[in-house]
Amino acid sequence: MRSLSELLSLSLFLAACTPSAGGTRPAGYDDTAVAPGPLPSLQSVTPLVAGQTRLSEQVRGRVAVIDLWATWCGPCRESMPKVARLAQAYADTDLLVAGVHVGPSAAKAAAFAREAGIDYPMHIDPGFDFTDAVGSRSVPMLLVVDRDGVIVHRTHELDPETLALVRRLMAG
Amino acid sequence: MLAATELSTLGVALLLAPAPASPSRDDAAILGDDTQAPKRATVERVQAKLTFYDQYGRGYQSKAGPPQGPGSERLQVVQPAATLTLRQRNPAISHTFTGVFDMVSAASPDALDAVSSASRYNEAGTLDITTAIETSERDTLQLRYGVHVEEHWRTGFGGFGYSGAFNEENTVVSTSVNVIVDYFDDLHPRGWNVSQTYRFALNDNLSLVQVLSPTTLAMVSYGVTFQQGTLENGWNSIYVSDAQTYGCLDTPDQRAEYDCPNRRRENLPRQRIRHAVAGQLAQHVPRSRTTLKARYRHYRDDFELRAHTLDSWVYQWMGRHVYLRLGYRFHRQRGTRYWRRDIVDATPSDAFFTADSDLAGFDAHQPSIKGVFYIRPPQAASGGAQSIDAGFSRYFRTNGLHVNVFSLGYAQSF
Repeated sequence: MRSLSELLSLSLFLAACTPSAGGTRPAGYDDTAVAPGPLPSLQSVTPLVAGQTRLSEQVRGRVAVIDLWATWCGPCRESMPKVARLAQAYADTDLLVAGVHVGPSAAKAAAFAREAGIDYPMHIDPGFDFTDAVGSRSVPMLLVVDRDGVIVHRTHELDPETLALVRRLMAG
Repeated sequence: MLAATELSTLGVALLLAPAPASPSRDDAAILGDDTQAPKRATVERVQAKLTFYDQYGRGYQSKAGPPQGPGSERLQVVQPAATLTLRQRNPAISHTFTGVFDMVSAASPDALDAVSSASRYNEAGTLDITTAIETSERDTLQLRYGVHVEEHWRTGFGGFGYSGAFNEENTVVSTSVNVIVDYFDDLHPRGWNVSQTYRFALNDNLSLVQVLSPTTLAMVSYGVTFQQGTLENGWNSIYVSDAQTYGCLDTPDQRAEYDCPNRRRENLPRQRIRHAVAGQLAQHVPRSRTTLKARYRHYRDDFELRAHTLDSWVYQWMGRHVYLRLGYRFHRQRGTRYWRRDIVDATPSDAFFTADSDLAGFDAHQPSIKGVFYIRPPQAASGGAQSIDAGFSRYFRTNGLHVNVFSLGYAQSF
């Protein structure tokens, strides 16, 4: 969370960043404090641009950073340039950086990604199936996946801790 | 074909040309400036606004009309305003400067000087500075200070506040103390500047903001204000219904205290304690990108003025670049016990009375609409938001006053 004045003035917009999925989670549930576990089925996740490779195929055997986001989420848009710089920094490696738009509105999401100049692979989870299976209650949610397909880290913000983990996974 | 020397030169040049650099993978390169303090003060936000108030109405405090009133409350204000937020090299400290300039054309002050019309137009300026110091991730101290100057009125204000976030930052508690000192011309209903006078106000506020769910926010607040000094505004007057002389005559037998025989200046106690308690609930609906806000405020003071105010707003995003804000305010007020339409000549000089229509009992309604067009949407993937906005509201109340308010604005954050 940002400064207090921003909380007071923009809290609603910040608070807006919650998909409808995950409504059955208990109160006080922290969606970043989930124990490492296998990546759920990616069947519901499809490429934002028709004809591109599905995420389920892209992620196989690779270290991956998957960014769950939505067009209506301000903090997601704030976070995306960092994710884009991560993708560029590791463009010559097999690190997979991918975005998954949470919810319907594929056309809006594609237009947004295009306007924002996002060049890493973009996908969509229109029915919140993957999002719910992951246990995400809010976006942005960054999932770090190791080469065995295990989600080893979750965070709402790309931070030094997450970058250090990515470096370790890539080095390993 | 290129000559051998040219090929040789080209070859050397190619060898010397830097290889395409891989983007850096260090934290600063990926996370941007978040991990580094800025090297100099930066402008975070600028905002400009132009508001036009067009007020019609009649009130018994105004002598711009028939002697028994009500007189005109016609008023037009053109109000350009600008706000600049600077963040210091120490990123924990920011300053927000707000400058407001009022150009007022008013009927009521005009009536003080009906012949020359020298006071028909008035100008006022305000400089309001807020300095925020983030002492930790969860605590912010605020200093607020500034001045307001207009033809017959000078105000200085200052105060400090504290905001703290608790409960995993789902709860924010804020408190503030402000002192306002007004030093102004003690005007007479006939327009004479009798003397200089003052009043001061001490204002304390306490508020609690609670995140109830990821899309629901609640706020409660309480404020108390203690005022001391000349609480009349100087030019408000009241009709003396049985005055022996009709109208104001500038004759040698005028009363020694420069009184206008058929009007006296309002007279109020020198102290006033005001209380206000408010509650607000806001709900965002992500699917439709709608935000609903409702607010209730109760006000009471020891002039026995009681007021209930209900505000409601709907914010609706329409695409990525436009949102509309629709608002409606209802205000019901029981007037102060000192309010009366007129007095009699025998009314003691130490009795309290006012004909100020703002202190009377009335119901007020204020529907409003505002449209904001984001040239660059908020928190866009790159760059700050840039927007223009236009708004209109109409304020009208049952004791004969209505105001049309038009506004145009521009905002840019960096």
